[in-house]
Amino acid sequence: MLSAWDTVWVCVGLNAFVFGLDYFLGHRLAKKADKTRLASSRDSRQKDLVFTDLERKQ
Amino acid sequence: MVKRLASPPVFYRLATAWWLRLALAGLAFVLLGLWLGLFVAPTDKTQGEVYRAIYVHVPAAWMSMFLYLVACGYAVINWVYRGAVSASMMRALLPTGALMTVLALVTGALWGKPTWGTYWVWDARMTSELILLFIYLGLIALDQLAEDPSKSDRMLAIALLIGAVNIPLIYLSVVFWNTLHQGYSVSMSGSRIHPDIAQAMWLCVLGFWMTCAGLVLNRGRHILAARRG
Repeated sequence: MLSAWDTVWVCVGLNAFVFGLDYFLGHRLAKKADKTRLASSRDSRQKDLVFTDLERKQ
Repeated sequence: MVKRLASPPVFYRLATAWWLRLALAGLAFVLLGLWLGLFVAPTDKTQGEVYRAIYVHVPAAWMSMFLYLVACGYAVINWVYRGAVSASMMRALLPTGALMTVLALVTGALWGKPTWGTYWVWDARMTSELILLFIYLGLIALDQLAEDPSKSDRMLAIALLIGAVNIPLIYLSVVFWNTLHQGYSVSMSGSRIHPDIAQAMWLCVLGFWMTCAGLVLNRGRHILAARRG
């Protein structure tokens, strides 16, 4: 069994870990949001290219 | 003002400007509270040094319930107004709430071993807190299942509001049932905690609140950005 002070320090360490994990999860979401934004802008660029191509054929 | 906050660009700008300041200020309060609690506050007469787990356990347990209630508030707003900000914030609160519940359960178990002689008993307070964790995990899973988040807003809001029944059960469990977990130490009528211990604990509570608010705002703005693509 952990000593009294060890128990307290494990609790403090877990607290730091949880805050860090929460920040990391938010950071991962930021990357996902950036990817979504990139994908949607690429989609719209591709749509623009398709439209230009169609116009050229006409 | 409230209407302005419901505007996604305004919310995004405010959240971007404030999340880090809130989180860092919160961490400073947590560090100050922990320093006072671990090195300045007196030793407990009956529990000895191990009572100092209170500075992590109590703020985490309160946050686990408080964040759920805030998510319910956003669920109601989303149900009525169907805004993108309320939908994003409703989702952003769930992982932080779940992590606070895990922290409360684990630190409670660690504190329970030297004081009660066991890490876990199926007592009303602990069981209802564990149910809260399952509710959080269920809501996160429900959100992940939906392909189009905008269509699952209402479903998530209803599920959140149904799960809210558990919050008063957690809070009142020590009154309704004869639990191994102690009764209220802090209530509307006052506190039974030594002022030096209470001062450090309130600093930690404030710090947890601000750090969680910062982290939730950061997640909320990213969910909002991903949603609007």
